[in-house]
Amino acid sequence: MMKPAPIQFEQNVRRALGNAGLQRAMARAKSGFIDKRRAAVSALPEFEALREQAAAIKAHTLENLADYLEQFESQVHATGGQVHWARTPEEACEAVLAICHKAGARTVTKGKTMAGEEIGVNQALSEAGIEPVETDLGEYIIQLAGERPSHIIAPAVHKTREEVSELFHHHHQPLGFNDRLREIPELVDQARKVLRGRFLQADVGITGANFLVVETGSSVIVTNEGNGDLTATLPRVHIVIAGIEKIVPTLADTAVLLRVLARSATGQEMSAYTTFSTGPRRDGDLDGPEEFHVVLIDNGRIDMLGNEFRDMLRCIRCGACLNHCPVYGAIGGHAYGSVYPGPMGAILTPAIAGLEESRDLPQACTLNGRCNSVCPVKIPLTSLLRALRSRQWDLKLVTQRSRYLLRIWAFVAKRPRLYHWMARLGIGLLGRIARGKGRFTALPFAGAWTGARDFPAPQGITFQHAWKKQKLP
Amino acid sequence: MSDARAAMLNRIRAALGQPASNPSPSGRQAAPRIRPHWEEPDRERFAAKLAKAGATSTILRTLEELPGELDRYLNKHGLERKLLASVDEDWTTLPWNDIRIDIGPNLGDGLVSLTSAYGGIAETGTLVLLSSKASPTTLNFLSEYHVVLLREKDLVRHMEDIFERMWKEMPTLPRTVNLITGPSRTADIEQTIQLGAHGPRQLHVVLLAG
Ligand code: SF4
Repeated sequence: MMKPAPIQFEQNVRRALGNAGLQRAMARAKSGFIDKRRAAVSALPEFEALREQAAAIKAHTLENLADYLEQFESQVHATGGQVHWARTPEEACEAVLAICHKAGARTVTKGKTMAGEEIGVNQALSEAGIEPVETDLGEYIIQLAGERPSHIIAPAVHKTREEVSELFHHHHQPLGFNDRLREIPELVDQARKVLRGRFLQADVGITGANFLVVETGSSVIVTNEGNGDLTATLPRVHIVIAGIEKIVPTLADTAVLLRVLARSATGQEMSAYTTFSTGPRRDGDLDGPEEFHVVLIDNGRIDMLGNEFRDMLRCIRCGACLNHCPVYGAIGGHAYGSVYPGPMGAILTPAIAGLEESRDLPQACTLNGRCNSVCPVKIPLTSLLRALRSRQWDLKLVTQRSRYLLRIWAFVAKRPRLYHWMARLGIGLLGRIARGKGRFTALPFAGAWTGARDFPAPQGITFQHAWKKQKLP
Repeated sequence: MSDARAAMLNRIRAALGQPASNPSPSGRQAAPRIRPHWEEPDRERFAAKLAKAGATSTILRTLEELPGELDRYLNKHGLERKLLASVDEDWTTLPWNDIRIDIGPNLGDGLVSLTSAYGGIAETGTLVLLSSKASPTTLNFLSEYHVVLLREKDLVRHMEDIFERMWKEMPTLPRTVNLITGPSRTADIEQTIQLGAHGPRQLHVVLLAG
């Protein structure tokens, strides 16, 4: 289940900024992602036009979502699969457990699925006595560490190789791997060996979906490791867990989205494996699952369809907005305390878990707009964040302090030049704070944060003066 | 669950301001699709993209050269002289000499597999493999070395061309359509790219000219 920890947000931030290992890992990851994306995008002159088209395809699909879902369902039926509808995480887990019980499952391998994180499927399986085994290397690492993903496509991005080395040494020793490994190739290899056995042994495989194609009834996964394919192919039963917004009308539409997805996510033109799974194995097939199930999840999405946050449902989970976000880069994904971090998470989480549960997340933004400009489906992320802030305002969910800041923010927002100056300053301050030498506890961080982000020089008060006033008790 | 289905569909229609009945979908006019453009011949583009994705490739003039090519490949990598292969009418009759060919899925112990591609996509250096009685999916993922035969006549320009061909040739998609672009890889530890995460460490494409 999604358990945001809003109360701890400020603490999380301080801890993140003081964590030297995290800061090293984040610094390395950030430039890597940004450079790779930039290279891939500049090598494709058609990229902007494709973004436009990708956004239009998603918008059209959402406008006709009920019809497309029904058609998708009948295609899945026509090819021998089954569709399950789930309003809540509980209903989704129930559906998964019912399938697993019927299959007599003891172990379940899992490809990477953020929808699975969202519904808390691992916990539900464990509680039912079924062992979930994460097989994506990053997911496997954090499963060993007992953590949750800190990035939607690179779940272990916050871990250094030393930490992975330690984890593997600890967990693989009982399996007979006695040497402590330090090099990345050796570590990857050891995980491959350990997980190979698990793949062959699993009764059920659970994957997410990047797309659900209406005209064919297919679920599409885009991966690099091949773990998703082994998960979807080897066990007797394949379950796909996906939000209802994953629907795409045609294969031709999917092609457009694939062109922007990999480039935005990892800077590849195509990920190593893009796989269309349609129904169970056919008569005479020599491998493949005997059952194919798709669990369609609402969990707050239908509300978004009917309000000003519909655009957010275009999201194809590429992670680019995280990679380009100065706040995410400074604090990492865990500080958000939610399944989805970064700009997309700051909007999705309140929609899914409720605004009250995640009141700080919409504030975790400098409104610099880099996320908007990299989003492959052109989601106006900063406008949506602004809309969330004004909702919080209406619902009186803002604390005394943020209320004061918001008022000032509104003052500045109406004055574009001042606003831009502030936004620039905001990034600078954030950077300076992040570069400090572990003395963050001494800093009034949450105050500094909001101050840095939207603090203007209101009439009669100097910036320094106002800054001091924001110090936490 | 059927409650959930009706409730969800109704709420979606309400959210969209649509009547609860089932109108036919709006039938979006297929907008002219933007497809990447390039100047060089498709074969060149394909080979360059393959290399960029970390795969190796070679061009053969005739199918008879295939056993020789596999012989070289196995030697080069110091591998045992046996292959796990999908069914391809054209190659089962070739003189494989001392290379042993087993036909069937990979149950976990096959080191080298040989399969034939349904098509190739020049745009991205992508291979298209379809599951069937003749062609089990495990051959594409459980082996450490994957050798794929692609006939040049099956090389298309864009991804959409492959989809169009499938639509013409088959009533429904096979269980699994794999678009494969290079060997298995991961960057999950410190963003460092490492080949052979869970799938093949090496992908070798044999392009049969003509
Ligand atoms: S909001 Fe846009 S940039 Fe962020 S993950 Fe979703 S699609 Fe990618």
